[in-house]
Amino acid sequence: MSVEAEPPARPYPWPRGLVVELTWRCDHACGHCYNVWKNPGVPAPEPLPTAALLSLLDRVVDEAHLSLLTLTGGEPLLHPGFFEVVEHLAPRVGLNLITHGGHLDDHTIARLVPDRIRTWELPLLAGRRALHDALSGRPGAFDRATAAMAALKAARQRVVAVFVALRPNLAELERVVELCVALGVDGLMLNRFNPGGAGARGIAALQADPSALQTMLDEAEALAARWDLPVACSIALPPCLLDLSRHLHLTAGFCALGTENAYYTVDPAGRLRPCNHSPTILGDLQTQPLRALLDGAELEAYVAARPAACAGCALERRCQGGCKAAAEACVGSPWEPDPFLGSFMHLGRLGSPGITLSGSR
Amino acid sequence: MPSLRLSLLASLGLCGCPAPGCTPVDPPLARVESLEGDPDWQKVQGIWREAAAIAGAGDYPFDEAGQRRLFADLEESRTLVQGLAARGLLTESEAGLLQEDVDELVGLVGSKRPTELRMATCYEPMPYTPVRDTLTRLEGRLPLLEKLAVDETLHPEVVRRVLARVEEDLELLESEEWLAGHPDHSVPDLDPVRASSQRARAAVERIEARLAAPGATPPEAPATIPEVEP
Repeated sequence: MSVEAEPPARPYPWPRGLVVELTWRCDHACGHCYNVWKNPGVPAPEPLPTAALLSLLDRVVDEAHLSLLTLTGGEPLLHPGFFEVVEHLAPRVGLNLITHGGHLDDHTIARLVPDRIRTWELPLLAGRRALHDALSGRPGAFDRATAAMAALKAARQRVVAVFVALRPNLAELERVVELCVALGVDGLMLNRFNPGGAGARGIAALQADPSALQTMLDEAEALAARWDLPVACSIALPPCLLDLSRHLHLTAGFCALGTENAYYTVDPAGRLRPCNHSPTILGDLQTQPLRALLDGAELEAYVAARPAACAGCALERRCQGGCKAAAEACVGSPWEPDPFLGSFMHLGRLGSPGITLSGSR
Repeated sequence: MPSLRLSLLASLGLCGCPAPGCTPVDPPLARVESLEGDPDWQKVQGIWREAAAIAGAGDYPFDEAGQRRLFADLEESRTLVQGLAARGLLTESEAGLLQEDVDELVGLVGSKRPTELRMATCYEPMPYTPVRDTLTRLEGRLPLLEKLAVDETLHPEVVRRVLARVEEDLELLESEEWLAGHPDHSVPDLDPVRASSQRARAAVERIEARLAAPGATPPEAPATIPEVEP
């Protein structure tokens, strides 16, 4: 076993990859959508022309020796230059694609296989057609998503289903896992609801409490073991509210900002943000190199942000108090607790806020 | 690790109890010396020292094998502590305190991620596992696929698409030539494989029969979204 230094520390390392929001447009209407331009007072960015976007991405990929770009949106397939973007970038850098799958017919998939997309991420919000469609705000979404998954697996692609744990769909997890196994998908991303954008307006209806989430995570552990299905919890789970210590089949982590695993996000206008949940603009990649933005005061301040209530906790530096981007989007500051932590920190399983893990007994 | 240190001290009888009305009792020196020199106790201390170092380390302090070994060692330390208590080297209350420390260490170690999951972030979600056990996959998938087809969770066209892929796996398993050409040391006996293939074939035929039944297929296959509606 090797013991490593604790990240993050300046100068922040190059990230392995970036998230690229190709377009703000989407033809689904998910109530839990966190797209930042759905926050009050945040205008939808004017997208760059395709040629300008590709020029920018070429430069950044070379500068940072990136190995991965994750294409998202909005719905990325609605970008008018989507195929041009993929054709241009795929030979240079690995590509992941986050899509609702509604535009992935056989013809479209044929243009993107066998080796254009490394990982496909599609939503599976329920094991029942009606609920998935309702949560997606689009009739037919379930059939289209499952059809796309089946077609992608028939084309021997790597497919990951994304389940966003919301109050209305917590009981769906087992059926979703069974669907994953039946469809042959390669893994499940199990994300707690992380409010922002449209989701910020539905917190009361969509946000599950820690007890319900803990029950679901326990169930996920058993299902992952039973079906040998990789399950990753990608949204930070505050250890003062949720206990994953014996969940050996689930992977989970904390905010990766400032580390090589950070997923800095390029918006449709070519501006860099700390991540795809954060509305903070770190700078314009059209006019500034990535290194200048990684070394900038804005990012350093953002990395340092964490709720005052977490001061002194043994995990303060690693946990960083949940998701600061959600706090920024919903409460107005990354220094505040995010809506999940803020709503339930008084229930902390380890005691009052600020009590350290090691001193909690 | 304040509570761990307290427990270690307490186990050696060196920690006074602050509770009102509680009279500290000096432990018999012989017992302390016997404990300190006991190989099992030394092993417990070694395991805990390592676990405490891991618990205070950075994000990826071990690989998956190392994580498994440390969990196993911590479980072994429970047994060792019980043994020390049984031999009179620890009192029951001391052993109870020490078991609480193991709980705490297990929790702290469990919050660490192995190096294999370094890329398991939001957009590189999990390690790639391209080689799957075809037989295990079929045995898991087919009953689920049959259930999801029968209760019409999945659109029939989706079921057909999945079946096509299942058929590829099944044809391989039914091929004696393929089995002979792909020796698998983990499956020394092929008879169970053949039996499983027969069960899988029967399940495929049941699903296909259901799909072919009148009224089983809705009039429209799932179409992609016909036009952009931003």
